[in-house]
Amino acid sequence: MVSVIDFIKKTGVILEFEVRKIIHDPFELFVRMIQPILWLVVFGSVFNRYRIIDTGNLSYISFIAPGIIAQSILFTSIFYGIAITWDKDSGILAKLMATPTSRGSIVLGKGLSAGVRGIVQSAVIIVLAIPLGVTFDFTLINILGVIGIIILAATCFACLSIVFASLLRRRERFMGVIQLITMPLFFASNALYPLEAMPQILQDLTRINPLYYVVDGFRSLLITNNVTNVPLDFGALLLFTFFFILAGIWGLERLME
Amino acid sequence: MNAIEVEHLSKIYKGDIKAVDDISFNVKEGIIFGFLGPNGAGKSSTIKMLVTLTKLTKGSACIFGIDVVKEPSKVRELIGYVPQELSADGSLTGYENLLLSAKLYSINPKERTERIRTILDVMGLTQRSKDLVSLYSGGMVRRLEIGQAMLHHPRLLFLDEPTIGLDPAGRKLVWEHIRKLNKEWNTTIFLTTHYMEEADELCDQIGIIDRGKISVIDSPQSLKKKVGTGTITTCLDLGGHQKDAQTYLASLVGGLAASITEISSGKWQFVVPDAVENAPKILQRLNEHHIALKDLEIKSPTLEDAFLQYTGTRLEEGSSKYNLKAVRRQRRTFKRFG
Repeated sequence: MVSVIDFIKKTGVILEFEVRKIIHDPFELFVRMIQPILWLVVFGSVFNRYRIIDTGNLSYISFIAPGIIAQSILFTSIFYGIAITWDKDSGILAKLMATPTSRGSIVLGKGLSAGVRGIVQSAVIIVLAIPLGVTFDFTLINILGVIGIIILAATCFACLSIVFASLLRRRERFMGVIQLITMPLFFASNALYPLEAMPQILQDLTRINPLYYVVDGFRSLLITNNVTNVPLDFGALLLFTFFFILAGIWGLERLME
Repeated sequence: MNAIEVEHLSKIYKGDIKAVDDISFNVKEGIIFGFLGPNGAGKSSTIKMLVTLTKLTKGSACIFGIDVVKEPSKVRELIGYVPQELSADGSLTGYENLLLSAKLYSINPKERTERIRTILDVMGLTQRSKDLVSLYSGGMVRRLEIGQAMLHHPRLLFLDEPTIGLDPAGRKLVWEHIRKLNKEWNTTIFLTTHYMEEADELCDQIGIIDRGKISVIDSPQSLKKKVGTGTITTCLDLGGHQKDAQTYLASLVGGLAASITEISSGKWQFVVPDAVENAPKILQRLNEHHIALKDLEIKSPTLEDAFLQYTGTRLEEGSSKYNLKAVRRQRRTFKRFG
């Protein structure tokens, strides 16, 4: 019991100080918002006008808005590992790991801080999407659900990134590999087009892509309000996140060796 | 009681690189103990195992009787650790760095404020506590880090190359603080260094380590005494004995000097075993034969000589295998902190 309380407390401490860092220097947070906004404003508006992709009753811009939110979370969190390699090279991580703080707290705390970034980014994208004609379905329970998914997704991708950082070690390699995996994750999902538009093999692959569940959850809660799949989305994301936290702990230990 | 007990400890990295090769030693509570050796000698690898960061390949290590492998979290509560890199978080303020440590060591909120205030005061950082650490000088960062590691009043403090990259003034100040923590707070200190003066100035006991092995452990005084050899360097006016200078000088000082060398024109160096005793005798004999001395320089034995004697290499040469890595690390550190 004592150790559970200690785990939660220490996770909170790690999260607190990661958030303090964002507050001291929010530059990166803002810069990372520009890309999703461009996707929405340029790509979304153009495709919306010409109705190139069949999205049924939904306007295309309403269809991709949840996809763009998911994308912004993916693209921000997946680079989290670079901060870890930096912490490793500068001794910050070694010092942290020599304190009585469990590895789990360190990984989870850092992962959750990616969730905080995600919440801020998502809020900005939602606010900007309204004047572009996206109709959101806001209810309190839906918003809480969306926040839950943001936190799970950001933690999941940040931990995945820590694993890659520990495997690749050097920043140059890390950047290359991360660039390489983000695009397939993004395209092999339902972010930009409906599943039915994809060949069968890609449709099957989306099932092992965490981003699929993120987009599906967002779309169900924010746009269609068809929540049948939401428990599945949450369940799958919880599993992915839990697995990547464990892998992240392994990654941290590996980084120290 | 022993603060550290290490038995047959080895660290072998991938590719059969023996960073630490079967070392055993004890460190008594209350002293400042230093590992002296070149880059890549195995100093940091040893520390990393003792502070529970990396696995032990072989052997065992205990901190105040607690096994670092079996009960790492207990060990972490007893120790403070300052890594070699300037590792305070540059994107937080000095105060926040201390607050982070205080919270991670579960110091209760009532006591926290008071302890942070004391540490800022002791380390001379009160004025700058609200500034981001990225604006600190190297010396200030080091003091902050030592402060961070001392907040929870650990019984044992590990300092990995505490003054690497600091200017002489910064280095002196850090030394003062280390001594203070040792004397006033009764903290046992384990440090690594490749600076002779640092080991000589600070440490009660020194372990000379090279290529993963400890050659000798002793106090700086007795290490120097055991070496004993000093040098006399001076310009001599030999008058009519210019041509047979070497033999002439040899006949004068007899068995007192181990070697006599003309290092440049007219400038001679005598290597003198047991220098404390013999150096004055040599000077006296030269004087008796009316040989005028100019630019006299007498060097008593140093730790450098002890190092040379025990390892067969000079400290600066060291083993070059890891030097590139060390230099890169230093450069990175300086880039961060200007």
